[in-house]
Amino acid sequence: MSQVFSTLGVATSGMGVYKTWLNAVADNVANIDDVSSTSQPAFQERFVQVQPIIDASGTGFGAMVAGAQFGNPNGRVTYEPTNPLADANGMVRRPDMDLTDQMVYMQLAQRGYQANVASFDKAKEAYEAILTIGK
Amino acid sequence: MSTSFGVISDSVTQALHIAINGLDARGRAQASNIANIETPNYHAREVKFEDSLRAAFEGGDVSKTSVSTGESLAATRTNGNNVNIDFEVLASSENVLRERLVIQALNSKYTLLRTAITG
Repeated sequence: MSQVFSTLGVATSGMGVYKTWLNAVADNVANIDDVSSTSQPAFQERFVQVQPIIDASGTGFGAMVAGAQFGNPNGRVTYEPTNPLADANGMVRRPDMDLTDQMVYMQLAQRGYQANVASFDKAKEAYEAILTIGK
Repeated sequence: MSTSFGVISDSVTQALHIAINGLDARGRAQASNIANIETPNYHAREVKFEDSLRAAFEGGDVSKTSVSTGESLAATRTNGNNVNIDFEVLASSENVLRERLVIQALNSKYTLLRTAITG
C-alpha cells in the first residue's frame, strides 16, 4: 500500500492473511462431510502458510500468505456399505479432519482479523493526529 | 535534522521531531506484530529510542539519537511465535496517545513562534 502512511499497509496485510485463513477454514467446514469412493482422493484439509514481510529497516512490514498446503488425500477410510459410493468392500473415504479443530481455527482467525482491524483504526488515528501538526 | 537555526528549529523541536519518528516506527512495529500473531517462528519486534534520545539531548547534539529495532526475547509458544496480543493492542493505544502528546507539544512551540513572528 502507501509508503507514506505505511502502517495502514501493515494492518491491511494482516487483515488479508486472516481473511484468507477464515476462507480456508470455511472451505474445510463446508466439506467436512464429503464422501468419496476409494478410487478417488478424499477432500484434503486446506492449510494456509503465512510468513512475515520484513523490510530493510527490520521494523517489519506485516504478514503475507506464502502458499497453501493440503492435508492427507487418503482421508479416513470408513465402513459404510449402504453408501452409493461404497466399493466392493463397503468402504468409502471421508476427509481427515475434525470439526472441533476447524471451529478453534475459526475463532483464532476471527480474533486475528479483529485485532488487525483495531490496529488499522489506531494507525489511522495516529496519522490523523500527525496531520494536525502546525494547525 | 541537520543544522539547528536557533529560533525556528531549536534542539527541543528537533527532539520532538525525532520522538515522532521513533513513535511512528514503533507504531509500525506494533502493527507488524499484530499482523503476525499466528505466524510460526516470528518474534515480536520492538523499537527503542527514548534512552538514546535522552542521552543525546543531555549530551547537546540531538541528531545523534538512534532509533533501533530489535526482536523481543520473550518466551515463545509451541509454534515459535512470541507475540503477546494483549500487550501489543494496549501498547498501540498508548502509542497513539504518546504521539498526540508530542504533537501537542510541537503545536504549542509553533504557536509561540507564530505569535512571536506576527507580534
